[in-house]
Amino acid sequence: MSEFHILDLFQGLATLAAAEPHIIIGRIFLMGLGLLLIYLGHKGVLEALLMVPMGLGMATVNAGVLFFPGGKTGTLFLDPLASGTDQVMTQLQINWLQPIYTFAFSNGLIACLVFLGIGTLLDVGYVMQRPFRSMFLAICGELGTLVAFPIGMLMGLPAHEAAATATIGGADGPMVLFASLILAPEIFVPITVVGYLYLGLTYGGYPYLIKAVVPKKMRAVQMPNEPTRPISAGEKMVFAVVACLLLSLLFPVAAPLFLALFLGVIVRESGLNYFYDLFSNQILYGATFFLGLVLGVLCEASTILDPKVLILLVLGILALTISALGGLFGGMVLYWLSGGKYNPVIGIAAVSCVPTTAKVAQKVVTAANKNAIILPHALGANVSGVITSAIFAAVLITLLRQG
Amino acid sequence: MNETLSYGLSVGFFAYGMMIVIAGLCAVLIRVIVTVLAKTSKAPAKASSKAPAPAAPKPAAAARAAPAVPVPGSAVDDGVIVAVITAAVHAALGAGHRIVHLEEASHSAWTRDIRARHHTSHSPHR
Repeated sequence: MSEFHILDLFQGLATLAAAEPHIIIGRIFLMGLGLLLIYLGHKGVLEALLMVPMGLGMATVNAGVLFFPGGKTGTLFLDPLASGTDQVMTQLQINWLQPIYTFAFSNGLIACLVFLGIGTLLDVGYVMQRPFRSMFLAICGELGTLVAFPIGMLMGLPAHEAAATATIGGADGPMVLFASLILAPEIFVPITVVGYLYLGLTYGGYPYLIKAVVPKKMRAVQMPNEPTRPISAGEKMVFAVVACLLLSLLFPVAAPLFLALFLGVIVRESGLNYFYDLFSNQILYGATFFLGLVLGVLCEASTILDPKVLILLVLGILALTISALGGLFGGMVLYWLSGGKYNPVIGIAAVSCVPTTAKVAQKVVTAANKNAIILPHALGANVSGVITSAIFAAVLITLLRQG
Repeated sequence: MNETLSYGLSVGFFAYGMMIVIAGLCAVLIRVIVTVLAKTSKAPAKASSKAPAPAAPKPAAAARAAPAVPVPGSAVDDGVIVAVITAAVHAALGAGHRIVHLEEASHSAWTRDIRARHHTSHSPHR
């Protein structure tokens, strides 16, 4: 009893006291960041559905570090560095989130499940009514990926890691996860965490960017009431089937994502209401919850504190900002081509991030003109953004995949 | 450094160019699907109409007149339905809301409720 030390009782504090200074600072910072994410999610500044579980996971995993036999430190959440069958099997029996990570996260299943759910949210009718304009905007909305890739290489990242990080410019969380798992598995954790953190910021940050770039007069432009033929469910299904097969033929490496996305579209349009309810509710929200939680838990200081994280932070924000500017530039081009009858704010929705950017566009436009309804156009650009992000990521993966 | 930059730019622009071509093909594919299916869906309708139909208003005119035209076989007209829905929305949500679009519900109330929660998730307490 005389040798009892108070820190032996409270191992979270003991591991903190025994750690290297940069780990101590990192753990405290990440605990604070986790609490901040919960607060900002609760206040509606960031995406609450993702940030609340992610924030609490991040804060808790950095508090709950303990000593294991042999003096090693770790947590009872998961071990992303476990490799080899024996080690993974051991961790599966110890860490409570290891099964989710091993069987759903590290193989991209959770990205496909989220994409399946997103597919059920997508009404491809919007893009089918205006395919050329929507695709033009979506192409402009990929500029961030184009610019971030060579800059990442200049900052010292190998080509495959720069490409994986640049996909953040496509503003598609599942796509970033999938691309980084294939292209840069060694740093997929920080890439995905940075990607989702920034995607969460789009809701709060993009309105300021729009207001800085687009004058109020342009933001208030009312879209003319165009005579558009309603697109039937059968036409949407034909498009989904043909596009899925065609894109899978061209890029087999991204075929799981294409299948998940277009399967969701077909489930939506086929009238299979039991499947529709399952995938658009339980599967989508269940996958989003565990995605947020596992991402938060992966932010343990000793895992996330990589010297490359700073580069990823710079590249991520650069990619998303340039993509947004590209989308707005596309909107401006259509504004001038239409003689001032096209609202350029629609361009921001082409960055993808379904459906957040479309909602952001409508929100900003409504603030400028209560009678301006741009949501159908924005959703068309939004859906096109998902398609172009998938194509761009698939081309990069095909070109730069190792082994 | 120059080699790195030129490699990055060449791969980046090649991938971007490929994306533009494939996205353009997708847009063309969409237009072809919409055009072909629109024609095939109109063809049977034309074939089945043997008797001369009464003069119908042009589509644009019909769309404008639609809200005022009574629904055949119905005791109420569309204007009354819109008024009832408007009153219900006003009672439930209060002033300051506008009805932008009305259509027949294709999914369950449960699904619509979850969708509404998702779409308003960024301001959950407002």
